[in-house]
Amino acid sequence: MSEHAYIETKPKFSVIWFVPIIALCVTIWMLYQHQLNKGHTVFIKMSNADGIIAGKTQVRVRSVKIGLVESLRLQLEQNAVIAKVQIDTMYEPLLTSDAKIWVVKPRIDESGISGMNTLLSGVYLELEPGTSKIQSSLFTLQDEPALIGADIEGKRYKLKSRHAEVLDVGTGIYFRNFKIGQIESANFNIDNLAMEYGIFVFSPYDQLIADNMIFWVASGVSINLSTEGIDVSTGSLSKLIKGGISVDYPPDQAPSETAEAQMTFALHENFSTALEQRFDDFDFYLIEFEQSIRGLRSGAPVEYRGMRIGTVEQAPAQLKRNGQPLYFQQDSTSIPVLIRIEYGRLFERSAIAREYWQQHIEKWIRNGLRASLKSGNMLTGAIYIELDFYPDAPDARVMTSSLYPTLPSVSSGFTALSEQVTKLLNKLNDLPVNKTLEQLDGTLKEYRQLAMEMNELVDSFNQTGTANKVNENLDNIKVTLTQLTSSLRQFEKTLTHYQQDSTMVEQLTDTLEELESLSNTLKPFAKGLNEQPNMIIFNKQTPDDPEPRKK
Amino acid sequence: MRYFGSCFFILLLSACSNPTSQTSQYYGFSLDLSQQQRAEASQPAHTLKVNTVKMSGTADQQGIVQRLDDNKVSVAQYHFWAEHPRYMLTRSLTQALTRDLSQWQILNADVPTTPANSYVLSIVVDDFAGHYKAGSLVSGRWFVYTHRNGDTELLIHRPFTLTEPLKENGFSPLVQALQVSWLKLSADISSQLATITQNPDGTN
Repeated sequence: MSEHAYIETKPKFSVIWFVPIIALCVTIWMLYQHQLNKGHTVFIKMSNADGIIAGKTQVRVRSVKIGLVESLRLQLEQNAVIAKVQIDTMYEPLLTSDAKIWVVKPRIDESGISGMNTLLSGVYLELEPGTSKIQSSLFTLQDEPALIGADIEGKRYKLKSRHAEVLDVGTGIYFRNFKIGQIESANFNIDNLAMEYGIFVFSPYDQLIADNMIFWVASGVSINLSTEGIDVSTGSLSKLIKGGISVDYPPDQAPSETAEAQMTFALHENFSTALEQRFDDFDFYLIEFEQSIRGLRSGAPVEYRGMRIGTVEQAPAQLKRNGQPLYFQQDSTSIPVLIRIEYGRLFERSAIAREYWQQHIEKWIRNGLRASLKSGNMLTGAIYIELDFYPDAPDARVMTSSLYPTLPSVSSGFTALSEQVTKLLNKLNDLPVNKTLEQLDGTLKEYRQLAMEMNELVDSFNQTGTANKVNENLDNIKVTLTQLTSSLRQFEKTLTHYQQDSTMVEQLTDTLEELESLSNTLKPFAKGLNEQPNMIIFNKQTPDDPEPRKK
Repeated sequence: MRYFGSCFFILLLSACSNPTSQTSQYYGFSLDLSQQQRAEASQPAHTLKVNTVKMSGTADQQGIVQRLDDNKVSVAQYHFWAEHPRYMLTRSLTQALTRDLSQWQILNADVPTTPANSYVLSIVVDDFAGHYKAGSLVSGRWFVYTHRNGDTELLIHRPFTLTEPLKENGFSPLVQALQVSWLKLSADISSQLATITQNPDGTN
């Protein structure tokens, strides 16, 4: 029996190799899953990472966690901190380029107290998704929370202001004391040196905003001193404290077309300025006065027989001719005053008024239209310019040799009187002792003329209606007092909430008593803890209290 | 070796434990259960509003205070009043006055009513402690005033210092002594108030 070893051919591939291959597959699958579940990485740029902790601070949308801050990196060249954030894959569509991100932390502002829950839990980042279709992976952290959510309906407009005070984001927009919107953004534009506000008007109040709307700053109390007298006005108590922007239609005007979104309006200092600056169709004129213009200020009215037709722009006019101010001219002793004739004041359709004015001004001047200074307010000494016909005035024409057309003027009021008196005194001085009767007659004529001038002056006082103005002022004060009383009543109402025996005070007292009781109970514990910090874990090691002894 | 290891382990465990731990004790005045429901007088002649007793200085705490020799003051770490003494003293005083002054209506100051010609009692306690020599020490001052025609008029002002020797050693006897002192003060106030009734102008 021959014995042969059976030689089996070794298989080329050992089964044992399946083990590492399966392990490799599992590893690759796990890595793929990890990468898949890791989510989308975005970067948030911020000026400082105050309160934000890598690995802990969450990113939330409507308080639902969608991601986590993974790391924070300082970027010295940009003076910024870049936070690397992992957003869950399923929330990737929220990362639109116009999404807003801000830090939710405790805040106290005029809209109330918010973010108190972050006192213990730490801050988190709130993301408000935008509407854009474009995805982004780099965001800039906003300083302030987005006040108005993307789902709130309304329209955005812009306000531009050159004079108004700086108003905070969140300040209300009021239409007849009813809040219809608020300021969303406030920036100072250094190119045109103006404040630019972005405002949001809630639906359906956005339909109120018409093209001819006027906006002004309602800052609690406004005191206006003008030729019209003293005007003090106050708003409601809340407005007195918080301020705000008022918006309304111009008086005596119906609302025009509803304004388009993103339209820019001017924001005026106050209501009266807002009304004045509406007359943007105007022409400049110069008036040269041969008398003192003391009391004439920029903004003083220019009137025609009591009807306001313009505004004093500069008194005296800061215009230059041949490199020198107008009043430096050697051949002239007059003081130039620059005025605006505002056609919108003549007629609401200013183009027609402009045409009418320009066609007739030459004729009116030929017929004796002259400018003169009139006293507007005896109390403040403010004066204004009045245009009226003086048929006896020397001939004159509209001078166009200067930068602007120059209207002729006549001396008036006290100036005219003093001229007459000077003239009379001179004549008296010149009166020879042996004067003839005719000369005496002439002097008497001068006296008569003086009397007539006096009469005219008295008339002019009557015409300006000083008595009426005083009445108007009294009416204004009455209105102001009524407003003040109403404000005080509101204040009183607010105070009653805090009066003694009210439920609020009672609850407050109860709470304070509970707090006091708690503090009394904790006092010995705090004292012990101070002496032995580890007494929470170990027993108190303090020595026994000394025993009271019988004597 | 095993024996040594076990010993070491037991030693290690025993190091963490502290068998001589002292527990805190809480004290309060004993209740006067014998007090009868007072027959309600048809119309009390006077009203006294008792303000919550004001504790000042070292008396204002829940640990029992003792004045020791060499001017030392000890605030107990293991012996406390069950509640802040100001509430205990106010309650005890109100009870005692109600019992002693049958013609008076005794109210707490927080009762939201002010009957005409009512009197107000205020007590400020500076010391409410054990004393190494005297036993217990209660000192302070009390005032009675009235509101007449919108003015506050002070009728009585009395400083007081009451001491009481302890019957035994220990905290319970101290608490008893303090209670005796306090009831003495209450009796003194009652008698003074009775003189006001006879002489309502307070010119005693």
